[in-house]
Amino acid sequence: MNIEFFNEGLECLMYCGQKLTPEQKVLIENSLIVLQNENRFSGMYFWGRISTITRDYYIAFGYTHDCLKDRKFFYTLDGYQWMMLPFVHSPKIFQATILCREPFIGDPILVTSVELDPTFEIGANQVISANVPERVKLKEEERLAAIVFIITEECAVCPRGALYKLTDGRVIPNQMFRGLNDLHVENISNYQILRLPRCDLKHNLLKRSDYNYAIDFLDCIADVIPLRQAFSLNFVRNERLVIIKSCFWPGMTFFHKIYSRKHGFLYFGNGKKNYDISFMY
Amino acid sequence: MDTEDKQSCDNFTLDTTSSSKLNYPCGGLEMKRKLDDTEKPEKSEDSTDPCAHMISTSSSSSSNTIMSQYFASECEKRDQTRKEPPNIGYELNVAKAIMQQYSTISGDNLFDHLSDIIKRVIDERPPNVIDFFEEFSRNVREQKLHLPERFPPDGVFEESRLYRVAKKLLLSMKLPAPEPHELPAADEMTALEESKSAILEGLKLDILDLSRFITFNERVQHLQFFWNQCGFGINPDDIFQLACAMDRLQTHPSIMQCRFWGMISGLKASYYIVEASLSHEEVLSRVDQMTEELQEKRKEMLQRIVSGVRPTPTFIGPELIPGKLGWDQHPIEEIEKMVPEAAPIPLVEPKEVFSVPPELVGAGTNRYSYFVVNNVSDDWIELPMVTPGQIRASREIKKFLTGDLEADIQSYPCFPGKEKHYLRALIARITAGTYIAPYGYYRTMTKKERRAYDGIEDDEEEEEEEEEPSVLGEGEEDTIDNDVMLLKNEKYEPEQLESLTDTEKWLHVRPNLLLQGRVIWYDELKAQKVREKEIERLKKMLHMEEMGVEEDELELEEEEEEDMEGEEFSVPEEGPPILHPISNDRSDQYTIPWVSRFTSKYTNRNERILVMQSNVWPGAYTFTFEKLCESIYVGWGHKYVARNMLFKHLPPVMGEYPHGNEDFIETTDPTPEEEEAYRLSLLKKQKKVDDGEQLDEYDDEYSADTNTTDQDEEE
Repeated sequence: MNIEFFNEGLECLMYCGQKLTPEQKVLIENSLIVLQNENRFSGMYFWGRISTITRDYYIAFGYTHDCLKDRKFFYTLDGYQWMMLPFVHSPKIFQATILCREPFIGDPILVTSVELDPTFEIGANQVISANVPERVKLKEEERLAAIVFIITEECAVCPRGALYKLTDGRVIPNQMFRGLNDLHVENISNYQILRLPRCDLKHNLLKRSDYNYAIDFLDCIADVIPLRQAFSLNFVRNERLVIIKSCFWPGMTFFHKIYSRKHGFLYFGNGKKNYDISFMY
Repeated sequence: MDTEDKQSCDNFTLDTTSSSKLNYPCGGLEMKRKLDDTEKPEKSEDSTDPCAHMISTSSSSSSNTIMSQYFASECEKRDQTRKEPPNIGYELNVAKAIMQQYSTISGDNLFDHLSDIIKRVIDERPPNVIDFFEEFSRNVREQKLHLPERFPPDGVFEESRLYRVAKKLLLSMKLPAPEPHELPAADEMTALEESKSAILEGLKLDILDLSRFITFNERVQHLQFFWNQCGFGINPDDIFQLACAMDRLQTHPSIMQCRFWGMISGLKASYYIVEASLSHEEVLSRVDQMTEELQEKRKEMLQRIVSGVRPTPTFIGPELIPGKLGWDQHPIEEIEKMVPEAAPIPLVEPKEVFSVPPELVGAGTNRYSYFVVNNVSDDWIELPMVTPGQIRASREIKKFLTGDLEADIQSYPCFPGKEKHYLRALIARITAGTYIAPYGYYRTMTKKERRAYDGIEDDEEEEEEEEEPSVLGEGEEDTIDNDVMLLKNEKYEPEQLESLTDTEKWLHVRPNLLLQGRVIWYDELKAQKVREKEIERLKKMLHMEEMGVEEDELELEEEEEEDMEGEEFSVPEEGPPILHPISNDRSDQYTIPWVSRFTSKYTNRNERILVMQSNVWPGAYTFTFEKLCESIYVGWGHKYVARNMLFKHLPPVMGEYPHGNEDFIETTDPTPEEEEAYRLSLLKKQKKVDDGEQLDEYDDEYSADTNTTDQDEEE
């Protein structure tokens, strides 16, 4: 959620039942403005909170040139001292993050050991041998970075047309975006995932009859499997506000005001994916 | 005029470095000025301000088009008086004409479009327009096509989507309708007050009596302030409407008091839930109705078992044929008498389906009733009572609520009920698990109070000694009575918030739900015995009615049977008592079930609030501030699981025939020769049967035959 309309956004997102306490609100908003100016970010966004057993993590991100490629994530435990999240490369860390059962503790330097799945050698439909499952040392800071990355990749939502791809390939917020109108707002295919597109450009373009190269390059949330079940779309506040909640990551909420460029998402949760989704409809 | 024009053009080309002389149309502004100039003599208007004129021409494309046609004809006229080749005026006209070519597809032209864009840029001054030029241009064109200015203003009116909602909301608030003749304000006031006082007089006794038992805090807007401080709750826009809606509910005669329970999100809509305790009359009438219904149901069931009427199978297996080979050659009368030799059709064995009965209204899990609403302006809908079976089933499944109370729950194991039942079971579980208060905040009722609460007249003044109300669940009594209502302790002295972070200091204030799905354990074994006895008794009665024996003897027998009791004794399931510390909570999924948070860590230490949040039910919060302590739930209604839910597996597929290993013996397939031999032997047998042989012999011989062949093969 853009910190330009921090307070208003928080109020809109209260339909998930959570928001910040007055102290956190003041601390986070102002420290983020400071962070933005010190880092010369052209956009600064509050990402949400991951609740832990002791101290909760608050996450934010900012960008300078390209709002998809060079996002920088920050986290804080106290609400005003922001630290940069490490960039995780290793696929093993991601795997360990997904497999880790324990809740977050609230100590970034804590190291837990996670047992990965055993790997199998398979030849001609027969399991030849199984390797002993590897144990990976997982630092909570890295785990946090990985989980933030995964959540953002999977369910950060923006309305169609909010991002604009320039001719040189950079992606920036569309200054001309005036909000979805009340005909488009009901259709879930008018919302996109805020990530570097994974689907083919052609695939994304061909889904629409009124496609636009500069706008429709992003993946659409209607394509997330299970189709039409990964997100739930609601109207609230006299049907003037759209709330989209992710069913995969309970706690991820997105809002968009009709006929306004205000939109944003926040995650308030414990960093647990809902793996039971296919049994829950 | 012309010379002026030329000069300005020349100036322009000299000033700009980017556009060459050949590229005149690039300078849009310049072009417009040109247009402006050419227009002036033709229309012979005395427009002193060229700028204003320019805007007026470019704003409406219709006037432009007419003008340009006119202009084209003018150009042809000028052609005759054409000057020498390096003529800026002529070149410009040519360029403009190119740009004004109408599209054969959309009927638009580039010139109008560019002038519209320029007008918009200058009017609106959007930032960084050059970066979004394509998008901007697309927007301008889109709006031009959508512009409904030419329609009469009320020709087409689309009803706004907000209208319906707004109207519903206003209706729901039940505002007084404007009356045709207005009463004087004073009269109204006095009338109101009179009626109020009359009501008060009538209810005075009741109010005084019941006010002692009000344990709910129904002031939502007051609580909203604290929720806001704590960082959860519901949206401030809805809170006023919620307060209105709760007021509507509160005034209903059958409701004693109500409080806001929380919100559970659904896929299509979320539920706002209110917890209400019913008035005594309502509870009594409901209990009567319920016991009646239960007894009737039981009677029906018993009757069915006793009478021995078994439901006929809906599906009869393979067709049975009378037990003689060649039966079809017998006459029909004989066939009717024949008995099939196969096993009889298996009849459905009615299993006892007596389930653990639900607790009565006003007791245990059904102590409070719950009202839900999708939208705060709707009417409240009461949820049905919860049964132990529903609670048990809901523990094994995890479902998204849809927002439709009548939706089906498709799950394994099968959930007995609709979504409203599931929601009710969830509420019961969450309430039992997450309602906590600091030590000493609540106390149990004294006996006197309980009697008053139950509505029993306190005639006897014998038990005058005041007993101390206990603040802990473990009373002097041996049996733990979990099903009690707690009262706020008047003597509660709030401790320092810092010391309250210890989970030892917090107690559960709602009765624990047993695994059975009830608050008070129900002895299923005993109930079964009672049932059996009753069935026997009924059977006997039935028998005796047939025989004509009087009932006196029957009672004698009953007395005898009473001695049989107590042989088998089932151990009652015990859970933690009400008011036990939350530090004893155990969860196999989460090591630390409760965490505490202060709303202000660094700054405002005087006025901070302590929030306890449950990790087992994410979304359940309890806050305490001075003498106030309230719990609320806002979430999805899902219990925490460390990774994924351990769903019950489907049972293995049932065998069609009971069989062991020896029933299937592996042998080699017979060769064609053997098959041929077998066929011949069959033919031979058939002949014998036709001669009048008995089937039994045939069977014996046949089995002997096969045995020998098997032996042959083995050898």
